[in-house]
Amino acid sequence: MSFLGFGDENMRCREVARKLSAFLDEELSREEYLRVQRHLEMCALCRKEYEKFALVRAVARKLGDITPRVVPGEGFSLERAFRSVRRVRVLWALVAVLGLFVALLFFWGWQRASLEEQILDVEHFAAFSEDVLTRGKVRVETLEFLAGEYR
Amino acid sequence: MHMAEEHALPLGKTLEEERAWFEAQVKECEAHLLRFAYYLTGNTERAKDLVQEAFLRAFQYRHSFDHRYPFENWVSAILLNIHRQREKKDRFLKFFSAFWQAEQEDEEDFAEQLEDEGEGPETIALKRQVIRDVYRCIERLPAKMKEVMVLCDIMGYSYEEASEVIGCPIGTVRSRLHRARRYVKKALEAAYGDELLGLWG
Ligand SMILES: [Zn+2]
Repeated sequence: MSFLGFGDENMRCREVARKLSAFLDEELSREEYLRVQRHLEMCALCRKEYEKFALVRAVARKLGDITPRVVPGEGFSLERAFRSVRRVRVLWALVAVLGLFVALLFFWGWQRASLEEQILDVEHFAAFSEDVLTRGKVRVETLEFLAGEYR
Repeated sequence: MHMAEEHALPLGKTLEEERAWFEAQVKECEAHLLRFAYYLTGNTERAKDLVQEAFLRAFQYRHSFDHRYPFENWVSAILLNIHRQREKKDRFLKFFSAFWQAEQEDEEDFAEQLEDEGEGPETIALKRQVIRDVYRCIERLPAKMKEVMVLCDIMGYSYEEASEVIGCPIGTVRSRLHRARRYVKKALEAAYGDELLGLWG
């Protein structure tokens, strides 16, 4: 590519390279379009670039022509779309209710377990204190007995 | 805008009328949107799902539709937005899930549909290969470049129409499209070298 360009009224290669795509689509102003065109007539290197861009576009266009076989199926209907939305909503509601139920079950189980623990605690305490008391009583009796002996 | 007169009328007065109006619009552009969705997602099922969602959302927001513009472009813009949101979500999921299984891509090779117009088996095989390569390149383009290339090159939109769908200035469409094509061109150059220009009649 020539960085010297082809004089002032013509564009330089680098500038042309930026505009090739829009030139191809005829999306340039009339003036710009003509300038690019004139440059391409003179510059073989830019012409080659242009042809490559044209090839890419042509292949992509062809790609658009050979439509993938997307079978539209039954086609869109509002009725069906609403129904499917409702179905999804109902499903979510069910999931939510189920989740809530499971959570309640867990909570209830936990509550029960902790209650049982408390009961056990109480029983344990009772047993313990009874033990202490009886042992205490034994000790008192022993003391009394010893005291009696002493006397 | 060559739409029938009745489509240019504002929405109906009753819900029934509105539904009828909407479904008439849908019928006209459904195939077109399916193609658009297909080239965005590269997958038939996802494309159908995307179109379904786009129509549903379009119906919800039907009152914000500006009748001076084509219905098709309006729904395309909605579809593109949903697609972007889904992509974002997918990226997020992929990032956080080490066990993410790549979804089975569509196995359809539609290059096979390219017809042999008396060019001989070798030429047609080569052309099919080029189509496949270009498709693969477009699939791998960064999202924003891919959008313009699908709209302008595959769907044949003008820069102005594409800018309406994407929601950006025309200049942005121009530069993105140029970069996208250059990207594809470079990939082809790397693959085919000097023979590239002889590939396509
Ligand atoms: Zn040049």
